[in-house]
Amino acid sequence: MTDDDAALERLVADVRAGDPEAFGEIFDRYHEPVYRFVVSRVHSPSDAEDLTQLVFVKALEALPRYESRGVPFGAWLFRLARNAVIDHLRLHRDHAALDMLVERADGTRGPDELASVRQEIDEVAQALASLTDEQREAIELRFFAGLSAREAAIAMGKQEVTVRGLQFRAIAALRRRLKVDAPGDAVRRLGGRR
Amino acid sequence: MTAVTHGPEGSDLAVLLERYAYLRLQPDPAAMARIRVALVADAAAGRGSSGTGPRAARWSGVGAHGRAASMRRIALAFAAALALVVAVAGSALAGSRPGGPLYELRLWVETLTLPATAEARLVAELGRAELRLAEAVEASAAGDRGAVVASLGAYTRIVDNELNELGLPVGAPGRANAAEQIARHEAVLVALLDDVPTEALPAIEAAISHSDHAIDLLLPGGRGQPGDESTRTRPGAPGRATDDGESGRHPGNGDRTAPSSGTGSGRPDGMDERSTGNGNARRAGSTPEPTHRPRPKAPPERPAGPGASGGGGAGGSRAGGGNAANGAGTHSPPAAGTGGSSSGGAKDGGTGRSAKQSQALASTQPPPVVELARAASRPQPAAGATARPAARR
Repeated sequence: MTDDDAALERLVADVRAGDPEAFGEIFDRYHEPVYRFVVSRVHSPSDAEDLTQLVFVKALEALPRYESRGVPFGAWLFRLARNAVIDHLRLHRDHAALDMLVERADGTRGPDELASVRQEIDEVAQALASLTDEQREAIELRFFAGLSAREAAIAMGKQEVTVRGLQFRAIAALRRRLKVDAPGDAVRRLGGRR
Repeated sequence: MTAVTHGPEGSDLAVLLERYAYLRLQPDPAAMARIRVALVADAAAGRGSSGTGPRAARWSGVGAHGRAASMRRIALAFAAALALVVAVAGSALAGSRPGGPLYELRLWVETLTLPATAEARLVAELGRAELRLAEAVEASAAGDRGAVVASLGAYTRIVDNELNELGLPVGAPGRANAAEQIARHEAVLVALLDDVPTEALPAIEAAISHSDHAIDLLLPGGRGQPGDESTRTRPGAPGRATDDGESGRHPGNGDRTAPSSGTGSGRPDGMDERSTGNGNARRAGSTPEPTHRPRPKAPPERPAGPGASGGGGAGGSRAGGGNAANGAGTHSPPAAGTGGSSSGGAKDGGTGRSAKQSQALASTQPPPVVELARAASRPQPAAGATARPAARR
């Protein structure tokens, strides 16, 4: 157990003991990756905010029953998030295709650069959309949520090696699609993490 | 925890993904701060299951299907409750109409809100009586015999019991006003004879009779006191003051009371003058231009007010009372109890109803007495003293 994991266990214990601020700290740690994962799945910032809140509400609700037993807290939390997203997409299947994501305002870029960045981002989005659901989910959990391969595997309910394979194929597809052909680039390094 | 560790200046795939995540997948800090506050508050409250805000409430539950099912259940329960409320309210409304099962309950509830003091209670009771009368008029227009009978029964109870048990001292101004108002009611009742279903005629007769009695009780010394001008000039009970109580014959001296003098009571209590003969003639004559008369059409055979023709033709005839009320004394009531006897044999004994009237009530066709009442209850062209009903005098 790393120091980070030990600190997390203490926070969980504090929440169980009735310390509300401990749950605030857990939220501080995980709200951004959870939101990233959720919004990349539902394509709607407002729905993603709702779902993020729901995920943490459910976590708070289930925290007294949470037992580590070898399952990292992050994996447990993202399993909740994944189930929430699945429920949401099942209920809002008809509206899931509409991508309502918008770029964050960045005042440092000029119009030309902004147009270029937007084109680049759109190409990434199209490349991601061309992946299979499982490949895309692996990328979302690994790169956008920052989970380890083991955590992503637990969250997806798959073997770790399976997730690694999904990730490898997804990266290869993205590379082809985006014409990024650098064998020693950072993505390859990321693919070899953990 | 951050997988994409490279900065945005890179050019490989990791940089592209990180830039994509930075520009499109970053949460709104303000929204996250709100959610954090709500969650911490929720944790402080020791309840993780409850929603922490509108959005959380929207999403709370075990899953989307569970939420949808919960929403459906809530919506169904709400709809069922709403339907139940509407049904109960509707049935209560319908039931509290005259003749409905809750009508008596409604009347009883009304009595609970009556004021305690005699004067105020008298005013309130008169208002209730007027309401009942309005209900009767409405029900009559709708042809609802049961509602007419129910509302008139309630009216009768009010004037017969409530008003007489107020304990107001004799001579109190409220009594005279009440008598006046009841006389107006009586005029409406008489006019109602024209429209009411035949089966409801006895109820109207009873209401008229009881209102007469109420007036007698309210003005115990006023009626039949020849010199009582205060009573005589009241619109509602003018005839009572002129009732000499002697022979049922009136001198026919052209006094405005003369036209209906034929209704002069053969009974010393002055009651039967309205219940003898056909009674309708007197009632018609006593009609003081009701403000809400159901059928305001001018009588064809009534060119002048009751007093215009003086007492001519009145002759003390009970049926002649109807003639007198018509003002001309020329209308010969067919089969009416003519003959000048105010207490004549036309009277229907204890019911106070004339034999002719009883016969009329038994008939499905409008009886002659009713025709007389109709004619007499129509608006009179002349106003003022001549328009005052003479039958009571």
